[in-house]
Amino acid sequence: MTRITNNIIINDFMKNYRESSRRLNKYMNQLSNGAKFSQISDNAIDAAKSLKLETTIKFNNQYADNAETGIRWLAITDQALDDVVKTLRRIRDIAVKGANGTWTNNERAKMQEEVEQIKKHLIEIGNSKYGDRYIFNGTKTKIKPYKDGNTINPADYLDSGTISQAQIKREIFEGSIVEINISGKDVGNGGFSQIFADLKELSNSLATGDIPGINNSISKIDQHIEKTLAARARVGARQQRLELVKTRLETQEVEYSKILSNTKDVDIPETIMKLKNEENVYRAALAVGARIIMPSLINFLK
Amino acid sequence: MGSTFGGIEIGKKALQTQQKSLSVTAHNIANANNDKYSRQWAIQSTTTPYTYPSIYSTTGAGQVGTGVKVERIERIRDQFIDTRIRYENQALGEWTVKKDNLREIESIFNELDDGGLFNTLNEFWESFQELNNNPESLALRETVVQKSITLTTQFNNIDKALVNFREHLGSEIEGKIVEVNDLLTKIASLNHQIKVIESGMNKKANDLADERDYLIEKLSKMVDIQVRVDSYNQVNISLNGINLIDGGSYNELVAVKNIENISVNVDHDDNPLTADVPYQYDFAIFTFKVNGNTVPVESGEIKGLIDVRDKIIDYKVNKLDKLVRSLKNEVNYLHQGGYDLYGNTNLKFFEFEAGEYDAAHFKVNSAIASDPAKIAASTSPDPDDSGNGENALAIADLRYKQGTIDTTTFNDFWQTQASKLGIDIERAERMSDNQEVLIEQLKQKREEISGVSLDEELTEMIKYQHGYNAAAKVIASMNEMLDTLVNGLLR
Repeated sequence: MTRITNNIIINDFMKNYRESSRRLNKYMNQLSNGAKFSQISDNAIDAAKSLKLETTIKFNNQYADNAETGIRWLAITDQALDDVVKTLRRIRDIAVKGANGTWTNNERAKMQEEVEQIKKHLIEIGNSKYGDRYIFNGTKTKIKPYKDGNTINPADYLDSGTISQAQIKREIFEGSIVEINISGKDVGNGGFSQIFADLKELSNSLATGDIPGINNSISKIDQHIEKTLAARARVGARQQRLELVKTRLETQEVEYSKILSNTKDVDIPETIMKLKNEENVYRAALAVGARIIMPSLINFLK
Repeated sequence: MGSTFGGIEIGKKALQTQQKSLSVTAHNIANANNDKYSRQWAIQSTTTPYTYPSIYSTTGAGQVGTGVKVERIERIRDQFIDTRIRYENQALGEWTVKKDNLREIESIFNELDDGGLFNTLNEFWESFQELNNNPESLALRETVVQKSITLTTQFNNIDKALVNFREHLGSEIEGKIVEVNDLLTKIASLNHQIKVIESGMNKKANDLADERDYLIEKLSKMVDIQVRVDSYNQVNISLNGINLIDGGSYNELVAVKNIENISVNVDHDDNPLTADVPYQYDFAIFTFKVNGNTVPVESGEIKGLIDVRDKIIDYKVNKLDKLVRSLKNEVNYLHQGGYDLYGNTNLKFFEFEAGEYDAAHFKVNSAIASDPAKIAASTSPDPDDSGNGENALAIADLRYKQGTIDTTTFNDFWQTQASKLGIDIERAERMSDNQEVLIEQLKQKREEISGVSLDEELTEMIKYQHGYNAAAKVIASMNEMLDTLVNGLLR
């Protein structure tokens, strides 16, 4: 027959009580910090998974940021190219007007003046900036690309002698890279400097009333418009690609966050239920504890 | 025919015996809550009977009892359970120590926190991504430098914390050894006392034996001892074949600290083409000696501490320092190939101080720390190409590049270490929990046999009380009889 001594009862009670309060403490911790685990050893597999997911989410955000800055850069480029096309069309109108009919010197001088002003505007577009960075000078973003040369030689319009065609890149996913810039050299037929030189030529033709010269300029302007439109199409295509990537990354983030939450966060209703249940066990344990200092034989001896 | 006063003598013996038995009960009740105590019990037996001579025979009228005596007082204890507890205690000590101390290492790494190395590493990569988006910006370059310094500082701190912790474990081992030797002294002295007492007939040194069992149990938690009891009720304790206690004498356990060298090959110049150079670590390793003989310690708290100390070496040499060295090699290799804002090239991004290739001496190149323009973000030698961030991008992409460390990525490598540690802790926890349950059960079993039950003792008490009362009545009757004999006849 098993002997049950007073201490056996007390030891068993203490053991059960300790276990109950340990579980109670676990649920309370989970509820108060919202996570199923606070150290990897609490749940090594889920914790490792959550570390991995957190990294994925972090870098998805970074890639979305990269795409976003790319989109903004491209938007400014797009606006500038749109402006270039509109301006060239305006010049074409003037040139067509100048090539038709007879105009007084005074009237032609006015047209020439207008072309000169528009050329200045185009030079300003060539020197467009994103923040404090020139967008049409490749990676030489701090170097001003164009100046007003006032000759028909394209090289005279280059502020520092060359235009960089190097590409500015954004990583939009692991190993996936998109170029976000268009070099000034790829705008129009032979670059901004060629446009400026051709406009100077037009301006000169207007000054002298050289009709064949004006007509020649009109066809050159047509080519410039066409090539600029082509560059704009490239920009648009890249913008669209970045937008798609951004949307995909954002959708993924929602998904990953959901998985992360499932891995890491406590199921609050379930944990509260467990806590309540444990509370009952704990109370019962205490109630039993109060009874185990049982009346012993001593109470009955006089 | 018995002697005149024989009856009184029997009554006196009975009184003494009941009284003595009652004292044993009192001793039991007094020690009801003493953990070391095992209940005792007075074994009563008859005193030598007397054979009276008679008319027809010099012997043979039958034996007449001469009363009762307490033959000896014994403790009720199952030595087999003690042996089991001692054995399981070794594993309990080992795994509890492992669990607690590995936890400490985990909190040094603290990976799930935002301040964990994993997160800092990610922020470092992220800053290089940002640098590609903004290579011209000095403000951003400054951020890159700050994030990199946060990373190196974190490596420095973790390394320092690990090394300190290892040192702390070393002094804990030395403390345990002092405790072991203290226990050995006490056990040896108890051995001697018990032998002296028990050499007297029918004497049992119960309380001293309890005390000795308690000390042996404490000792068994620290080292993997084997215990044998000899014919003088002395315990002989040995540690993996080497005697620690032999009767009343003991041999001191000595911890000897030796410096052991561990050599690894490191790529000192960040150039994968040149040969690696050996780099040497010095670690203090404990060995244990008894009487000049080396003795292995294979379980118990001391073994747990030794194992954790070895684990820290592994963590430092093969995990943390390896990560730092690979990180430095890969980042520097790319960085040296790029160009900074001045068009300069061949500059290291990270460096090791004082020619030590470990995490404690990991730093951002001071030239870069003081002038962030020197970060080689560009792949173009032309300083005008300030918008070129391709080299920064290449560095950022090291994050997911396979084969940068072992056959995996930096992040995966470190994450694997963190999970392994977590799994080690889980295992140690499970082992120590299991041992605890096992030992609790064994102790409960021991309590079942050796524990004092107050109800039982009170029953005994009533029994002896009645016995005493009855014996006193016998003497009173004897007294009346003698009164009749002596006073009545003389009148």
